[in-house]
Amino acid sequence: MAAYFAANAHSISERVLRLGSLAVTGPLSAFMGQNDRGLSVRLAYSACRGMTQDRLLTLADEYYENFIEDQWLDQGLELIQQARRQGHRVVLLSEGLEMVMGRALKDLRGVDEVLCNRLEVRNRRATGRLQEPIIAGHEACQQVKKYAQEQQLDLSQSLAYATYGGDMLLLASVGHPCAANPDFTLRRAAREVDWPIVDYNN
Amino acid sequence: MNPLSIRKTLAGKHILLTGATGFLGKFWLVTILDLIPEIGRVSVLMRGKSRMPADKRFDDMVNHSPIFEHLHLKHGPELSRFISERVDVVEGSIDRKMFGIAPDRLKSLQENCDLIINCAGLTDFNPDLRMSFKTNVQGALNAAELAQSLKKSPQLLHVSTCFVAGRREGYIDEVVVDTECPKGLDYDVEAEYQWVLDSLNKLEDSFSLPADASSKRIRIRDLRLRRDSIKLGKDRAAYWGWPNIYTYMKHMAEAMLVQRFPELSMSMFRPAIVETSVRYLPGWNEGFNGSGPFAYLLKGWFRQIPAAIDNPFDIVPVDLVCFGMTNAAAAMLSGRAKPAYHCGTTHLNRLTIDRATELTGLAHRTHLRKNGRRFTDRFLKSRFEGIAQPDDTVWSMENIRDAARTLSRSLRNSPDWLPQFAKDKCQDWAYEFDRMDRALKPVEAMLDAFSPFTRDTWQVFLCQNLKDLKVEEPEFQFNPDAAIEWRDYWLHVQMPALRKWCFPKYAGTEIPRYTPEHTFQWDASLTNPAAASKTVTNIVGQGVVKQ
Repeated sequence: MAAYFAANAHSISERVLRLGSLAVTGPLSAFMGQNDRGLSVRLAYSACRGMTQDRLLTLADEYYENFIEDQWLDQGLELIQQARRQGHRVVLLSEGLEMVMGRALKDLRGVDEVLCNRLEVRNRRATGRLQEPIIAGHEACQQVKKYAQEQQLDLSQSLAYATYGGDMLLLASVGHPCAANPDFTLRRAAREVDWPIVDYNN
Repeated sequence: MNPLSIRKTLAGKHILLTGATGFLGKFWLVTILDLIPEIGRVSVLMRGKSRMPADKRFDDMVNHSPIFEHLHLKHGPELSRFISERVDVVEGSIDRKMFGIAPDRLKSLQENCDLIINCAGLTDFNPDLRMSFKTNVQGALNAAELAQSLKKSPQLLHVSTCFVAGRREGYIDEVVVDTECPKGLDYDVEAEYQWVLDSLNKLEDSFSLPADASSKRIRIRDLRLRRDSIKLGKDRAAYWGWPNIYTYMKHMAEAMLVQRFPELSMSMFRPAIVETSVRYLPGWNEGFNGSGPFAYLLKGWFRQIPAAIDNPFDIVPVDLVCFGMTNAAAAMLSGRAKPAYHCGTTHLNRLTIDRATELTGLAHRTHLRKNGRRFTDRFLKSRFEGIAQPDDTVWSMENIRDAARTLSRSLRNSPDWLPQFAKDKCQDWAYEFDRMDRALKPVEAMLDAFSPFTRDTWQVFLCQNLKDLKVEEPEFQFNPDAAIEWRDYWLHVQMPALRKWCFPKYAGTEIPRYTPEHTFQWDASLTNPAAASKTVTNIVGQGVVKQ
């Protein structure tokens, strides 16, 4: 997402500079992401520093239309509907930005809330910083626990579906975890602790 | 002060409107007919043309201008009766004494009219000075003279422009400055008026031809006279501190009005750059001289807009202008009017030129990505957006044209040792560079004309008078801070409207004419002298006002 924004900055020179900074921070971000996904996400979105809110909102619409809108998997949507039928409150957790993922609330019937990252904007320009709370890795898990406390939800009765190794803590904090289309790290961990694994690609 | 009721104030009133065929005048007429049908009468001043008298021109306007579609759909076959009961067409011309109105009509107007709204004006930035002087200055004086002769209530609402402030910088107050020019020098407007008259007469005399001159010589004379008249006006405007002939003449009109008619009750209504409607009948635009040329320019491969970052760019939707104008008119009719009303957005909801440039680029980007016909449009041109360029840049229009001319000269003087086919190719390319230079000349002229507003002058027009004028009907309240969210307005209202209504004109193509299901025809016999008292009685009868 940050790369798309950087590649579509206002001027050509700005695009080169922002992509260049991502190229420098990218490997660092990938390395740090193994242990601190939050730092990795912060580094990535720092490339948006100085971009106007007008541009970011327009690019957010484009990103959603090009890369997300048609990518919802039918089985995934069915899982959401199933959760609704069972009376669950459905919360979508994403490392993406609110300006992109907010549209999911409109498109996905059955999702009650989206918890995602918000770019700090001052005088209509992004500062490059994310507002607290950060939704990434361990910090996302902390936020889920806080959310559950505020909403008076019993996590031991909750379901969670996740895909990446970085979401292990999140899955461990709920009563009914499920690895959905898991990556290698999560699949191995899920097998070790006997979490259900769901594979679907339609 | 209690809020003013626009409907009650205007009910039964008779207003003479000039400039009804223009963008603002037309929209205001539709607004009044739709939202204040209890208006007594609007007399619309229209010039007859050689093949079409004034009433037929009015019919043509109502039948074919798309802004009237709403009224056609609302009233259907009853529209002719509805409008004829409220509007009468008065044949005349702004540039003649008492508008050249026939004596019997004039007498009736003088006895019944409550207010004159002078909305007529030539809005080209640098037109022939003779035309601008006649319409914008002498027209205003004729309006004031007629207003002074009104027996019921001699009142004039003169539609001017915020930009009479010229190159004055900072926060511009709502006052009429008649003895000082923007450069701060003493300014005697009567002497200036005479200077313009004398200079134009001298210019015309210098181009006089014998009676038997050929038509070709006459045409050449007219072109040269026009060119010299424009130069005269531009130089004089610049001397005093106005960026163009339009603002120079509009200021002269204001200053002459206050000095020649000190006893006349009048207000100056000064809109900023009037653009697409946002709240009432959203998406309508007919303006030719606002942000449209910029947006059209940025549609292509051109990128650099000369602009100062954070320079206020005062765009105001036409419907908000009409509400402001209506409120100012109501204030005049209630004896609450202020001497001047600014009607813009920089005070209450500021848009800057760099933001407008970026929003225009984003709008083009989105449009090209979805609708671009060619791959290069969808993938390349969509990503090649306009940029507000504050400093002198190597890519300025002047430099580009210089480069084109230099390349053309070099190619025309290609070395002799080149083979013939290469020399021919050089000549072809030289021709292309000449063509590019010629095509860029009007672009450079346009950028120069706009640079006082986008780069050279920092101005915020205070709109306190309209803001403070509280009205009972919320739909009439002037509130650009609440009505406009700039990103949403620019991307979803302004740019689509420009694409639909204005870009075809710049490209030289026609916009589709509207054809109503039921043809409108104005019926002069449907005069309604009792309508005023009847309408007021109806309102009184409904218990709205006890009189």
